[in-house]
Amino acid sequence: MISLLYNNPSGQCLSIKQSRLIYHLSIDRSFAKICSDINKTKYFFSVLSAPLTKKEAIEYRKEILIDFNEIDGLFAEFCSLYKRFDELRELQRSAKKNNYRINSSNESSAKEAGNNIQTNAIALKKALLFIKGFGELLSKYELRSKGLLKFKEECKKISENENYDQLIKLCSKYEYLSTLTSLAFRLVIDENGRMDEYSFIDPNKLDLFGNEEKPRGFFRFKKSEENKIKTEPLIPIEHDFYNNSATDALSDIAKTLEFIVNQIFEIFSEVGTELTFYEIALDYIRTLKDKNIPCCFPKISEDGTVNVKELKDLYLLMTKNSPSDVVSNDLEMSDKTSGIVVFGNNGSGKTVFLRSIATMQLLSQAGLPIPAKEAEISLFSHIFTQFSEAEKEFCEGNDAGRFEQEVREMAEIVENIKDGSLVFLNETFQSTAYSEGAEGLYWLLKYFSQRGIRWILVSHLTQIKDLFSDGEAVILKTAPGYKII
Amino acid sequence: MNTAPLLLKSDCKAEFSRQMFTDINLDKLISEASVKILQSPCGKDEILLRQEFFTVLNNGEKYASVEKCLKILIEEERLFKSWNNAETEIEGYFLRKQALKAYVRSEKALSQMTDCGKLFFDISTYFSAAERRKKVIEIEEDMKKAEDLLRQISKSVISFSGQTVIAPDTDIRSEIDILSETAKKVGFFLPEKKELKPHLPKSISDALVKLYPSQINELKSIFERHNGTEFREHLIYIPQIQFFSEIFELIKKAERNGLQHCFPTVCNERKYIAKDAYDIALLAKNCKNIIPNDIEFTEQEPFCFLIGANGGGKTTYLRTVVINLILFLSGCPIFAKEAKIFPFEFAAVHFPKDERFDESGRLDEELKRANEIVKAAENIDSFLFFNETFSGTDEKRGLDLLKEICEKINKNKNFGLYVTHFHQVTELDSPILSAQIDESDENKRTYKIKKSKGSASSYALDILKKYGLDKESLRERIEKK
Repeated sequence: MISLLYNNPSGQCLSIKQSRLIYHLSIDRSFAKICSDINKTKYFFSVLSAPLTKKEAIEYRKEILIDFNEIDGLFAEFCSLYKRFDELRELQRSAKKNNYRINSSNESSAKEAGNNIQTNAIALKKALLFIKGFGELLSKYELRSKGLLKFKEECKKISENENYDQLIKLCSKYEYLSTLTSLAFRLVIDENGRMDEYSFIDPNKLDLFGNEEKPRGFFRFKKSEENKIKTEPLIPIEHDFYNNSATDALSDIAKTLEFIVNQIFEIFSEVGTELTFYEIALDYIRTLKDKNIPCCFPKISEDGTVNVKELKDLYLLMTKNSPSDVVSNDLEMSDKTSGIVVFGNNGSGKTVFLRSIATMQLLSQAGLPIPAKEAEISLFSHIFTQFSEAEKEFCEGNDAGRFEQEVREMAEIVENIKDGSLVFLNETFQSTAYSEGAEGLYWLLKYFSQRGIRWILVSHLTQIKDLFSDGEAVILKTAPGYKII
Repeated sequence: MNTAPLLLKSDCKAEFSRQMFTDINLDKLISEASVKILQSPCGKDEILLRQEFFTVLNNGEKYASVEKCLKILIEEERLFKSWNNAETEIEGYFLRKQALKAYVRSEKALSQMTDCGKLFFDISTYFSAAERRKKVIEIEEDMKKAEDLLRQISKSVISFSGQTVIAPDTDIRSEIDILSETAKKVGFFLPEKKELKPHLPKSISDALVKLYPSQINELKSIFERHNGTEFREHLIYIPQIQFFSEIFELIKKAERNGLQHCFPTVCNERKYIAKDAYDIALLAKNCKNIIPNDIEFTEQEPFCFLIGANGGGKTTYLRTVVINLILFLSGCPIFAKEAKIFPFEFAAVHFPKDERFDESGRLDEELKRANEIVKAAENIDSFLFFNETFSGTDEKRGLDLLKEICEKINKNKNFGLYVTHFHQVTELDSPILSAQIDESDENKRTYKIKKSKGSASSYALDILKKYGLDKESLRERIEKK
């Protein structure tokens, strides 16, 4: 399968489902300003929620995005061609359903098999022409991304194969199979006297009745008696046998054609869906540009350091009148930093800061640019969030109070978390006595640190400060003007 | 030698009943065909020949060649049956050619079994006779010709166009081949071809016969020359070789479970002595820890009673004695460390049956069966086995009947083993075997059988407690309610 999102589609691991991640970080609200199509954004968020964990994978996606962004007309043409390709796939799917409905009456006949050949031949021919079309389209441009170059190569491998034209010709021939007035088959008997083969041969190539005139020199001679092919009349009284055998022989051709078409769809179809991601990504880049928001593609650090300069919160950028109204902040985490705690008064920008870092991390690990001046980030295997929420619905089956809800969520995180993850916690365990909440939270954070899981906590539980030993956490606080120091 | 010699010969005076094999669970381990062979005990000479053959099978190479011979024979049988069931004339020609080729292979395989012991020696000599080899060569040459003729008629084209005709094949490629080859060259995979091999319809067969008259006539005359080919001469060996193969596999299975086997010495004096013998039928239950026991029946003590605790291994012991006796009497190895056994001419078992008798009650039925067994054992060297016979009546009557039967057995000088719960048998003259329990360990069953008068108890109470049916458990149930 070819993918424009993953450099190694078969090696792509399933990420742990994080249903609230996008919601907690208000990424849904941010991108609602960029794209109003719910289905498209749903797909986009599903990709975003599965962060890439290898540098090459991020580079792969980033390069493709840059090609789409910087080469005029490429993305639009590519999408347009893919839309028609997807329409062909849908058509083939419904044709298959119709055939199934007809054939499920168990009265399949050679005629129906012939119709199937015709349908599948047309589909295959079109699919093959699409492949050629993709290759030609991509050849028009000077591509730099490995992904698109690889895609072009895959297309050319097929369309420039010396038998490609022959295959197209065969499809063209089979398009008119149902107009044949005669049929012919080869029969092969195996060593046990059973039918080993009953295959369709082109009746137009078969001349059994000696009507052909052969040119010889300047004269034409009719075939002499001894050159006529001997035939024996056949009285096909076993109607079921002949009908079934003819149907099988023709169905073999239909199934082979269908099998090939399905291979093409399997190889190429995923890209059509993946283009949705790039569509929204391009809209995002365009929006940043239109709003004059500085952005960059972060570098990937090898040693676990994080260094971001003038990072702004995406949601505020999308909702404020002017980007200059949004305060930027820097972030620095050395490879030795297990976790960061941010304290500060209400409304001083703690949650915004947390949100901006988490969003930045998700966007970076999706191969997208971030709204910062410059950045160097580390890669994390998974990203988790726990944001203090309103009490869940008062309903049957849910008798947990708010604190218990939080504990449940944390338990789920602990159950599913893997080493190398990054956890964002916003005012966790504040729905109980503070000293108890602080202690409970401390041991959780210690557990994370011991497992090499990094964390960023926004909290009012100042008691937790006293529980940390030297170096266990970096303590930040908000300063006037929404700055974090 | 005018007829093919048999692999297994038996001139038994009396066959064992089929029911016996069900009673002792031996039919759970071996096939019905092998049971049939075990039903016919052999004399000393045949036992020794068969023991020799089992020894031969221990050699991996020889075992492989016997298995190979068996495979060839089974294939011949399959083709022979297929030919006889051919649906059309054309199919018949193809299958007859195949069957005759298989016949040739079988002839060669059987003639090559020269170093597989005395049993096979006569057979290989018979099939190596000069006249037979000449016939084999003739068949081989004829089948080559037949193959060639059949190849000429095996491919044709059928055209449905105005008239429907069949014609000899042309070099036009089939469309599926063209499509598949082209698609493969472009780099696509192809679906797997489904393998259906329907019979040729009669219309095609009849048309081919008319289309290729000279080939058909030639085939007919070739096959006519071999009308007298006796396939059945080979096929009789199949169940016989399969018997050896099956018993051999059983030995291997027993070995994997840690059970020894041996070839008993065939005695001239009447006795049955074995050390550490096993009940092989327990393998059918995947029993892991099978306890061995000794067996000792001699002219001085030909008959024993077996008493003891419920679940103590009495029936298992009885099966051990019976199964190993049956195996010995068919020349098979037995499952024991060592043994010396006389080739008894008859054996029978009497097990309790379900009460479903049409005309008589249970006791009558048991009595009738017991008397039949005793009658059948008159005047031949027999070994009789009774498992809780006459337990379906009052104690006094049961004991009286038991004594009657034992008198007859002793009078006939038969050997025997009688499992019973009538502890009064300890007062009779016959030796007593009993199932040993460990009284120091909560009456744990040891499954060892030894000569001793044992205890008067059957230790039924332990079994009742385990299932909450003892007196205390039943009282607690009442109190809870």
